[in-house]
Amino acid sequence: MLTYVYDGSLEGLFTALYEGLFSGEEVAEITNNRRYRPSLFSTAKVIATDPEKARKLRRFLQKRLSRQAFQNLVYCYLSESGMEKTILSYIRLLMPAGRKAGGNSHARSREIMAVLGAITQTARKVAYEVHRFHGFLRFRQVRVGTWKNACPNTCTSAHTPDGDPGAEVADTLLSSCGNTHASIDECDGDFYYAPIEPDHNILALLVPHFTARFAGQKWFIHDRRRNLGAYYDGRECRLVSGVEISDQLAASLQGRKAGSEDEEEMLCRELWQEYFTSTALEERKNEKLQKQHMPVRYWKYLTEFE
Amino acid sequence: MDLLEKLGILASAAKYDVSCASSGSNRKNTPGGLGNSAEAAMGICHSWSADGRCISLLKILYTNCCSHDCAYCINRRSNDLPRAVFTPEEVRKLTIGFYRRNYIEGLFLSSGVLKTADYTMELLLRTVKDLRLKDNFNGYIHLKVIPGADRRLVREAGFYADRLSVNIELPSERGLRLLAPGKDKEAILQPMAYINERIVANQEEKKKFKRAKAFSPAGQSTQLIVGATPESDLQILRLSEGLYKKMGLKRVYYSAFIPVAKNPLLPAIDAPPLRREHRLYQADWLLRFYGFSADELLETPAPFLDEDLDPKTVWALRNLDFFPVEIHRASYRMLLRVPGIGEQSARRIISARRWGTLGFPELAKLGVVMKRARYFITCRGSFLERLDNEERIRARLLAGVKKKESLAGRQLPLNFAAGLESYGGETDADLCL
Repeated sequence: MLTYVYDGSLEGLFTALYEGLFSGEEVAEITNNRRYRPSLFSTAKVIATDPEKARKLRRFLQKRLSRQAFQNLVYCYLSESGMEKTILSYIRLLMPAGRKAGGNSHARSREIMAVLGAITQTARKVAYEVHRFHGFLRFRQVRVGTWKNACPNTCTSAHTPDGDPGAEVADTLLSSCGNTHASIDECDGDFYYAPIEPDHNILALLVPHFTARFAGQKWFIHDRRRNLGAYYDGRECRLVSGVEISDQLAASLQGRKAGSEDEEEMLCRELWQEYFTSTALEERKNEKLQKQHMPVRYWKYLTEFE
Repeated sequence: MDLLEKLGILASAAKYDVSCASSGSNRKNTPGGLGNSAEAAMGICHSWSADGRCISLLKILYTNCCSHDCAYCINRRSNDLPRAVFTPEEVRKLTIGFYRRNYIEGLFLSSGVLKTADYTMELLLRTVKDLRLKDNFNGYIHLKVIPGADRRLVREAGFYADRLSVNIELPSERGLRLLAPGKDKEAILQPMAYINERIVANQEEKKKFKRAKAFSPAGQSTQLIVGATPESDLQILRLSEGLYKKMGLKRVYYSAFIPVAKNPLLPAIDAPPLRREHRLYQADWLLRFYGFSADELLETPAPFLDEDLDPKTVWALRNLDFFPVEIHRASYRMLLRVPGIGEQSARRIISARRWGTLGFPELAKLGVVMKRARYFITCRGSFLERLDNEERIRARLLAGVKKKESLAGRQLPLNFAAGLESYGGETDADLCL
């Protein structure tokens, strides 16, 4: 039993998939180095990320697949739910050998249905969470000096409004230019900060919506579970990793007053809380329905529940 | 009075309005501007209040002072409650402040009638105009038209709002005369017809001139109260059908009557008729998306919708000669008429059957609700369960409902758009269009 271990990047995954397709090895599992747990029955093989192989595979996939299908693969990667092996089986079905493979056609169509079903279902889950966070994300206005450091080791190209999301995110995640210098600490003035803790790694997928909507204000979306950030400086958006926030902001996120917000921000929050309670109809109280639409795990950063 | 207190009063005064839609407008952001309205087919809900209704717009009244004395309304003149009036600046400040923090999709602005209809409409118009022109706000705006306001004001409002709406309030003219002495049918229907005329004309203009300014791009909607007057569901559905066909409305909202006042003219009820409202929404969906007509769903001898079973199932039971439907051969229209098959699952069936035959387990995977569909379909000629007697099918379906209810130990969770759920296939994100 052979387990491929890649570095967790999309490029790394593409390399691992490439290896899985062409090395002739029987791969039982593909996993990233954070999730990997050694087991008695399997041997691990560390896959070194190779940009060339990743690029080749990507070109092949984009040629063979519809936009939607390619996007589904990227979403499965972002779901972080161990879909790597399924993606490999899916790509195998696309390969010429896979298409010609004989055997029991009924069993084969079953297999195709199963693989396809798993992929679309996972991709749909990710897309749904993106949709949810378009609504659930809450900005708070804060002052500079809020974070200690963030190393912008991923560089993103400026967003093009009507491209297709799959290819775009792949661009973002695959671009290997490591030369972003503008340190984030340099930004001046107030900006809007939004902490999130999504189930899936959807930060990059949130960027297009918020860049289009809040083009005129500076904002920072912080995935606190993965320590990733998206910073928009009024012109373009950059993805950064290893974000650390200042103690002051951390304190205020826990609900303590820390002086990092001015009065206007506090008033606005209070007004929203007032609105939230005033707009509910007492006669139709139905908290079960409320929780069904807005699961409690998302409440942490919702201003209305502070 | 400070802003917080005003907001409390005027949000709570607006909460009986049910419209929550924020999609269908496609307004883009402008350079240096703020916001856009969602391009996606489904609107974005930002929160859900304790009653399980979604919050996507900041829903407020400009003022709850009102010169009318409508018996069913909490803001009626004769009611003793704190009154407040916003200023345009305050509404703008709230909208922008909330929008920037991603609390809302936009603004829903309605109002009681302050002094005269024109005076109030002018205030609303000024607020919305300032939001668009001074604040460069491109988020969604739903504006209520005050019945009786001058056409020119309505016309101008249409260029700044994404959706206009006039509330029809009650399902019949008689009800209106009885409970809303200050309002009459003409004053409500006229602006509605006018808005429709403008929307249609605007669509023509936009075909000819690229830069023609959009007029109420998300269409118009209306709302009526169910259960305050004795109209039957059939009358209500016929009215909705007429509004959809003749006035080109996007939505009719039904609001279960909540007894906010004791008045001899009003029925004495303990709880709002939520179940009836729910069934009306289901029937409304059947009118708009499933090709049904009001007269098919209900017949004069029994003009009320069944509370225990959904309207499509009831229709199917009354028309058993249409069934069973063969999944592999039925047209899309016919598939839509099968209980347990929704728009999405019908589409999926059509595309999946091209590639091979479908069995019952596959149908379930495509999103068909087999609990209901099983009695009405065949797969390559074979039945899953053959019961050709209306009574027996009904008894079986009801047994399922009863079991579910006793397990839940309470009434079905009602949502004013939840009608969708029972048709299977749709995700709950579609619930608030």
